Amino acid sequence: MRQTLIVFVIMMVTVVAWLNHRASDPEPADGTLSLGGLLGEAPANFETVTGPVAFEFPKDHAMHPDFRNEWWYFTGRLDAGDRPLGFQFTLFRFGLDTTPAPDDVEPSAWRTDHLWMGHLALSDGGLAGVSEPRFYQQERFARDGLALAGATESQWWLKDWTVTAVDDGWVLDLMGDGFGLSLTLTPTRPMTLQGDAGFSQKGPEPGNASHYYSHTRLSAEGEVFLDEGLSQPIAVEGQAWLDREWGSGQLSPTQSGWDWFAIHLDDGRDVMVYRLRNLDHTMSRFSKGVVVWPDGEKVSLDAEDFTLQPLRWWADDRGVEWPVAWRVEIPSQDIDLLVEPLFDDQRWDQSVAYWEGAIDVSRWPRHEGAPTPVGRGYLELSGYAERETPGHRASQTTPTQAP
Amino acid sequence: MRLLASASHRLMMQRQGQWLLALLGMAAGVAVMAGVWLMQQALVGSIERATDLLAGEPTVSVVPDHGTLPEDIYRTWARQSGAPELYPIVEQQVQVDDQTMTLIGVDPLMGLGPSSALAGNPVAGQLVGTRQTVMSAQTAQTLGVAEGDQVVAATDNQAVTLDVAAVVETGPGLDQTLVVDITTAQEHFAQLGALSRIDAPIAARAWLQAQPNDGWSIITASEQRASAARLSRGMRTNLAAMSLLALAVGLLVVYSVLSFLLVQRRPTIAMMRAVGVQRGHIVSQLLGEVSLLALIGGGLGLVIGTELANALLALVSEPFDALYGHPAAHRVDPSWGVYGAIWAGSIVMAWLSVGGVLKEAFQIPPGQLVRDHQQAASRSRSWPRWALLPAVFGVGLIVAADQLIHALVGLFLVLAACAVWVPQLGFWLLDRCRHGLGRGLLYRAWTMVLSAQHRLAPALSALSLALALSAGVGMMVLGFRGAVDDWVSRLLQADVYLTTREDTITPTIKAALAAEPGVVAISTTRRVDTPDPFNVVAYGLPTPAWAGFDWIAQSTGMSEAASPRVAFDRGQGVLISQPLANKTERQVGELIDLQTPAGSRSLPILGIYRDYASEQGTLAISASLHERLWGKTNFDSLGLYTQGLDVSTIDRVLADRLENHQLTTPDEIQRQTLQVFDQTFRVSWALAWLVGMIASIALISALLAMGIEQGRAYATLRAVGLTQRQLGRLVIQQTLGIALLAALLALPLSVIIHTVLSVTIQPLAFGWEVPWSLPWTPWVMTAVIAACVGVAAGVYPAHVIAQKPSAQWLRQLS
Repeated sequence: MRQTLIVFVIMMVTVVAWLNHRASDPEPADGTLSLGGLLGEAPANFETVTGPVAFEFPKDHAMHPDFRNEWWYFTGRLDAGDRPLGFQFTLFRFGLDTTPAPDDVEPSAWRTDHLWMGHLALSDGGLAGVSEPRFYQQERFARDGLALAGATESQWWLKDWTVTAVDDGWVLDLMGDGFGLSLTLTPTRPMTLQGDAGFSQKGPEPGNASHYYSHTRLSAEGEVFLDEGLSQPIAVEGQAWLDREWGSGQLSPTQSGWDWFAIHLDDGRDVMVYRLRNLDHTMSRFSKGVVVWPDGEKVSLDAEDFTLQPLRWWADDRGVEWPVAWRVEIPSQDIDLLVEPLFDDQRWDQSVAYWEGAIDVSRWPRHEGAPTPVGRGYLELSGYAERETPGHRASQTTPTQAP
Repeated sequence: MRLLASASHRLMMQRQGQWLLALLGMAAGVAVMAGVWLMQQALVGSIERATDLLAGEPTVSVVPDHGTLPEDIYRTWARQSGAPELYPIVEQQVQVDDQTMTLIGVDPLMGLGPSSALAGNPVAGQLVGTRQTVMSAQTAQTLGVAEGDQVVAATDNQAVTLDVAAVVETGPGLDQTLVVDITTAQEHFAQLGALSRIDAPIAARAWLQAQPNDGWSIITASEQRASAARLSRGMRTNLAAMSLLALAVGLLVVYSVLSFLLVQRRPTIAMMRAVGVQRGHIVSQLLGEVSLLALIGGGLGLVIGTELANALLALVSEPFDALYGHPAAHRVDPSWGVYGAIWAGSIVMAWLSVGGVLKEAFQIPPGQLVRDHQQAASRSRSWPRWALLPAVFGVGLIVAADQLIHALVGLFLVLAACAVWVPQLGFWLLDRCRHGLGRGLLYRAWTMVLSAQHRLAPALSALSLALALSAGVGMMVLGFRGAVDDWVSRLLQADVYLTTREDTITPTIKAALAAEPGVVAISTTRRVDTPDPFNVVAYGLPTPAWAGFDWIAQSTGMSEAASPRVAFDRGQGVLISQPLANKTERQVGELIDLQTPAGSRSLPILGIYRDYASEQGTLAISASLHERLWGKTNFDSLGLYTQGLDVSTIDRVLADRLENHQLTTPDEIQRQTLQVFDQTFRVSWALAWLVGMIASIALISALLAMGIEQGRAYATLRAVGLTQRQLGRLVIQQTLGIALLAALLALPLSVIIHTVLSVTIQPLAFGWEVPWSLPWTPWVMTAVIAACVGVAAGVYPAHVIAQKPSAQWLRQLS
């Protein structure tokens, strides 16, 4: 009887397993889009960045189609009364290697040579005792065929997400699913050309570089919309940062990611430092930084001029750990800072896995007691998801802001 | 209980063959039902699921009221503040090798949500601006291609070679579909500037409705699926009805086998009762066995049914495409919900089906080792009057049916009642005929059959139903085929037809053809663009063309000048097909609304004509009215009425005037029409065969039961000198006789099925009526099949019964 029972069980298990196999839905993709093919070594038909060039404005605010990658990258800290907020809006452009339309075929209006990706995020620190912190994020893609996306001297857009140039700055009109913002940004100090007159070397090979300029401090004023009351705009003001960068395959294959800090100090100085990480977790010698004084004067920093020390790691729901609290030391500038996130969960979980969020900055506490706030800013952490989960689909060279 | 379980196990081990038979019957019944159910789901799901898969969420569609959507709408909408995600779609039917595929041009940068079929696939970005395609694994298998290969997608006048960039594992919504970049679809299939539709998440509906409407409508995927379901309802309900019959026949097998097993264990049960085992325990034991049987048989049935569904889909894919203009999915997409429902249902139905066996077991008195044949025989001869109730109710439902489901339920009830009466009638007939057979072996054989009628009744019912179903469906199909044949013959009055894919036949071309000496008259046809939910065609009809209409009803004009024909030609009314008349419940003389570019017009119905061309129905207007309201003068096709005209003359006239045209004779059109018709009903035939096979299993099991039960009689026959061969012949005479009896009883049943299908179900499902006729071929076929089944079913029982030594029989039964 036991033998019969075993045969019966085996038979039922086989039948159920077969049915389960047929009834199973296809494995859902993990939602992470690999754009490695687009961001790897650029085809020969794209130009590379090999040295400084003289920038021309407003012409260089527009897209540079001869280069493979390009981005327009806004971050900023805002306040709605006692409610601390942060925002990020990034427009990425990737050049495509497309097949031209045959000679005897009239090209479609959808034809495009570029793929555009927009990232819009809002970090809501919440109101003490009233609402919890919340991270809003939305990603969009478009092509520039049919004028669905693009960047001219006067406007940068992806569908209805628009950044329009006005006399003394830019107007951001960005409405996402369940959140949005409408801001006017006005530069309060001159533009900063990063690296050597805007030439930013990122790796050892010629071409591992980008053209890079920033508006490190823009005053921000406008409204944000949160899903708790989309029809009720919340008035905000604060300070923002704009980075513009373009190039073709600027990162070296030996680099695994970066940690990028953009800090507005209350004393008027703006600090930007980034640590490029090698595959062996060491800091690349191409790591750089800059301190910009209120009059626009800049002090460039090399890798040996600063230290970045992770203090606390936060594990996301996939188990990937992100270093969200840091000590930033720039001895030559008498800067020693404690950097902590506005809240931990500011991880992007769309096509690209990275952490980008609002940070609060304090003076490094040399004595017991609460640290003294001295500034605010943004932090970007890239390449951790790939390192922690080797099978992850996200590219080693994620299309986030390469510093 | 452990003792009872051991007894069950022992019986199972001793009678493995019989248990296997029961398992086979159960599995076969469930397989056919599951197969048809899953196939139906796949047919409905095969429409409009591609976008949902690409978008990763349910979508709504913005579809043009006429033709296509201008792509500028997309640009305008997409750049509006607060615009939702919008998915532009360019769709085109193409041929790849001999397969019809849907080529979907999408913007791969849209719809890359986490649940999208393309999410996480780097090919999404690579598709943009290239002549590459992504397809499902099933499509790749169908086409015999893999990543890196090439396929050529072609229409009549365009073709493009596509590189297979990726093969993705996804739901069946992408089967028979090639996903390409929208530029490829637009540039290579003459769709520049146009979109077939714009899809958006369901939540975007309110936003879309707030946009200024310029000739488009919003429909949801569920509405599209519902529309597809409505369209294919006729085909699917016919199949569903047959699948239920298959299950019923399968359950009869279970009943039959369990009944057979009960006969064998009767002494054991009587013995157990004698030693104090309660009736309830016996019933529990039997229920446990049935549950086990249903659990295993149901599971196996689901496995077989899933593969059967894929095979059935292959059978229906061609006619589905021809009838509904959309390729059918090539594989089913089962879920545990469906599997669970069928499995649980089959277990419950198995319990119900063995109610009679349980009752019999319940009544076994302690110590009675053999059955009281006289008592059983007399009990089984009483006519079950209760079956009148479902029969009367069923007939009432059929007669009063205004919905398809009512008619089907009615038919099912009538057949159920007939299934109860069939054995009574059959054995009554047998009893009457027996007396004319003398006292020979045949008489003895029939007497044994009569004494086992209680055991044989389910098998006789099952076989009669199966044969009746085959014959009834066959009669309906042949009658319908004849009607379609007559209709096409009558419709095609012209001598040759000139057709093009689009409206490229100009009045000049028509005039040039009319000027040829051999051309007597020309009829014109043009499909009219309209948002109405039925086909609208514009006819230019010369006098001989009017003979093509088979009128169901016509308005009666007082004079020649006021005749329907004159009114039609003047554009003062319309003609509608019978399906449209039935679906809109319109009569001659009533008004019907027609959407025209000049606004809605109400026109009187001048006549209703027979038409089998489309389920949704057709409204015919005159060419002059079409020209007046739509301002279009070209035609899709011409019918040329000729006298001594050489076809080469037509070619000469068209040589420099018309490209991509086709000249077809009425015979060729008729042949193509009947070919589609035959393909459509292939699946019906296949199911009828399956049901027949299951019924054969029922017959074999019943005969085995009879053999065991009448072992004493067989043994006596052997003992009095009957050879093994003679005994075998006697058994085969019995099976052949039962099968022929079943065929005889199936005749009236088949007429009932045929009549209800033709007169009630066809009009309700499709909107058209099929003239009733009585094709006799299916009856002959049924008789031949029954004879074959009878002989085949008798071989194994004859072998078993004849081989068993008579002494062993007698020892066992004494």
